[in-house]
Amino acid sequence: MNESGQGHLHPISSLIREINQIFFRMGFAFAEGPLLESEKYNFDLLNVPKDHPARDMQDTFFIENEPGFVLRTHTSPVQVRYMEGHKPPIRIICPGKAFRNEATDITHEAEFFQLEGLMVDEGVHLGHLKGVLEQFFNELFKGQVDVRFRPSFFPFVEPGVEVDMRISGEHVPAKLRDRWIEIMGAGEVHPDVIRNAGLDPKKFQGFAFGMGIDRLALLRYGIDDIRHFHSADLRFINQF
Amino acid sequence: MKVSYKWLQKYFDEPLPSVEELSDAITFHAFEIDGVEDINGDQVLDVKVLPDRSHDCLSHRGIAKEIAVILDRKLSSDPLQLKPILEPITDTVVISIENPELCNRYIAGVMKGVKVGPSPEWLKERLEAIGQRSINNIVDATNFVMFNSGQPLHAFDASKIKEENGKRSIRVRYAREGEKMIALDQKEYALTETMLVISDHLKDEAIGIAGVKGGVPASITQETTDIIIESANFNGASVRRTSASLKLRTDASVRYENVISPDLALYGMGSVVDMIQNLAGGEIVGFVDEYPKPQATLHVGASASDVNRICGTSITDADMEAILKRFNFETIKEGDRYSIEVPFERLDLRITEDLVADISRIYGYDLIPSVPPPQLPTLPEVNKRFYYIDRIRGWLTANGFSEVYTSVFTVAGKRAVLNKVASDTPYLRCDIWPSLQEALEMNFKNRDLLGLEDTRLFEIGTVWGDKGEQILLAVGTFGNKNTPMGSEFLSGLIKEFDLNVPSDIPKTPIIQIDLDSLIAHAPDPLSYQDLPTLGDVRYKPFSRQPFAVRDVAFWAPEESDALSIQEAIKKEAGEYCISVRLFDRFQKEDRISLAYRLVFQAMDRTLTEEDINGAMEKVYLYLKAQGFEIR
Repeated sequence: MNESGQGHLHPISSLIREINQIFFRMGFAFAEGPLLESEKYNFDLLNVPKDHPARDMQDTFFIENEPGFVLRTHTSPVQVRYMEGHKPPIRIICPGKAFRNEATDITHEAEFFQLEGLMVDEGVHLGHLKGVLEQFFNELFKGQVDVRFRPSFFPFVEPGVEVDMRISGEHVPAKLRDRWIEIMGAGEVHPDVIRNAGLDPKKFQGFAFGMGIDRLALLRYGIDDIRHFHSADLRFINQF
Repeated sequence: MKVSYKWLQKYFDEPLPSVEELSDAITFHAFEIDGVEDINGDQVLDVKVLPDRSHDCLSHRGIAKEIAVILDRKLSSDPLQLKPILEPITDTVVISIENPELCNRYIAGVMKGVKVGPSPEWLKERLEAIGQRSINNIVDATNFVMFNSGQPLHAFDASKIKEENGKRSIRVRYAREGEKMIALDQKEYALTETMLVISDHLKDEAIGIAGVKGGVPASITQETTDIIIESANFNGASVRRTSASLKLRTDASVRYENVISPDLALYGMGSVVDMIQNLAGGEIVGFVDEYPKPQATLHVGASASDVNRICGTSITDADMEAILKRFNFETIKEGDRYSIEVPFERLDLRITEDLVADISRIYGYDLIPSVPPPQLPTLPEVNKRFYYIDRIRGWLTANGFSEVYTSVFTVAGKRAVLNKVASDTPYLRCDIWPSLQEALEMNFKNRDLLGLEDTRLFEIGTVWGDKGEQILLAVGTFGNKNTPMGSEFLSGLIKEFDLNVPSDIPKTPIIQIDLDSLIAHAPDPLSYQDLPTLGDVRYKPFSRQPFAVRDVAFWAPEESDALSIQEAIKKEAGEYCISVRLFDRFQKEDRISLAYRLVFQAMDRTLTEEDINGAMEKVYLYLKAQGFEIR
């Protein structure tokens, strides 16, 4: 206990709080799903074929004596889970933990936070994706943010895009200012995924995106090492 | 994939734009460029070919084709344009495939009288630019054609394959348990029953690991004159498994893993035979083509309104037609829909959305407008769990608690993960309290550095216990006899939010509780409370060096300002003094006693006694000069 009597919120929690506030104003609900996920939701229903390299042991945590279950490798399974239980218009974000079986370093952690976004309705297109992301980044980085797309590929979207952003404004730290930064993958939800979730892809379409919250936090607060987040070290946390 | 600029230039009559311009064009319309390297007067682009285009773009032809479409240019020649005719057919080699589901096609080309020798300079240059070593004209020709068209090829020395009655026999089959083969890298590989091999059927000996690497038993040497060239199509998943379990990844296996069209084998064979004849002479004996189930021709269609519906663009039929023409697709217009014949190598083009992706990336993603989402008539649902989590966080931080996240991986538990990197913690945790305890103690050691009397922490996180996956709230304190129990705060927050009180809360320093049961009977929230978020906070790297603590206490006149004295002490104590804190103060008659705690720490080294004593001397001198009486 210190003199002020005030403790400190973890920066990731603060960021998730802020993300939720911004997206709530744009009509997005906060959705969740299990971390220990079936291969069906984590891969199959998202159009990831059985023999896809992402399903290899070296990338994914499988569970001993529980075949068919993994620690979710992304927050995307929540897309299908939510669509199964709700009718369009669908607008959700899912900030949550995901896991990759990899060695840790200053930019990689075996457990990390992802922000999933999904908007599905009649006529939701990539222009809406651009609009939503611009508004989100403008509010989060409190400046003028430009967003651009480059071609990319993820099995659960088509077309798939890589999203870069550029923040301008005098108060923006020099390290970030006026530079294009690769920030996330996104795209129009693949019609197979819409169908897998029980909706008619002829009628409904929309976009999905996924980005690292850890990475957003690194950029937003100028943090130098992703491993601080799980360090439980107040020399880090009490700075926020 | 490494792509040579000079090699690409061979595909165009007009000079290509500079490598920088070309890189930008590729980046924004097709693939990311990971870097450009100058190699012996060539420039080599590292193109990050996307997984769905690795069927057709792990080749110079594939990249050249993309460039032609992006820049709206014609390819001066296209190795996949003119269908080669493999004649004559020969019966000197018999091909049999034990498992056609793993080998869609096997073409053997037989040549005799070739002269093995060094490759010409231009060929060495091309291969060396992309990091390949020149071996000899035959092997180099097979490699060149692979990097040019994407079709892996292999040449065997025919004389080393057993002949009977004027025939040689090649069989594609599973390896046998215990079968071994020395590959061209001179290493012996132990094969298993799930691996596909190319075998000399009459000798019943493996001469190649299908799609991965050729073997020494039928390898090309300086003495080779008669060859059998393989241009085949192997199942991607099978090649990937074999190459992974042998830890042998080759340029051929990478291409098969990504799945290539069996039609490509024909073009690969056509090109390599031409090239070998040019480089090494010899004559063609003939070909055998085992292709039981030829690839079907597919059609895919999209209209301009499909593109606009998916991308939010406003392209016209004229735009559509112009772009389709750049791709050189065979196109038929049916109503407002353009139906294209899918080029055999484009295994990614299957549905309307795939074609829309092609049209829109060439049209330009920068032309996608930014459209705000339409307003919905109702507010979104409020997530009850997150609502309470967020408010609990707010209440606990207001009560002096800091929030931590600790790893879900631990040393013991009910569930273990398989194959974890750094496997000292393979279990998923059942509890949070052990890691919270650890965090409390660790941070308590730093209490002076942190300016804390005791440590108070909480974590809200997932565990996997008896009830399966569950979210726990853990609250804990650690410190001295005055430090309240963590459980007192849990009771406090239950009261604050009028939560369902579990029958009895035991009085313990650390307590954990199931979050969902805690909030089960709490009222459903109608909207979120806009709780404060961090402003322009910037993280400052902190020192991991040891720190030292010194106290100083003295008498001062009662009217003294403790805060300005604190600032003065900090200044006198110098750069290594990172904090000064008043920890005791009392008055006796007309004097006050002030006690300050100073913390010393350097960023880059352990401070010595001299460093600290020197700093304290300055502090004492200053205090004495003020007329204060040091206690």
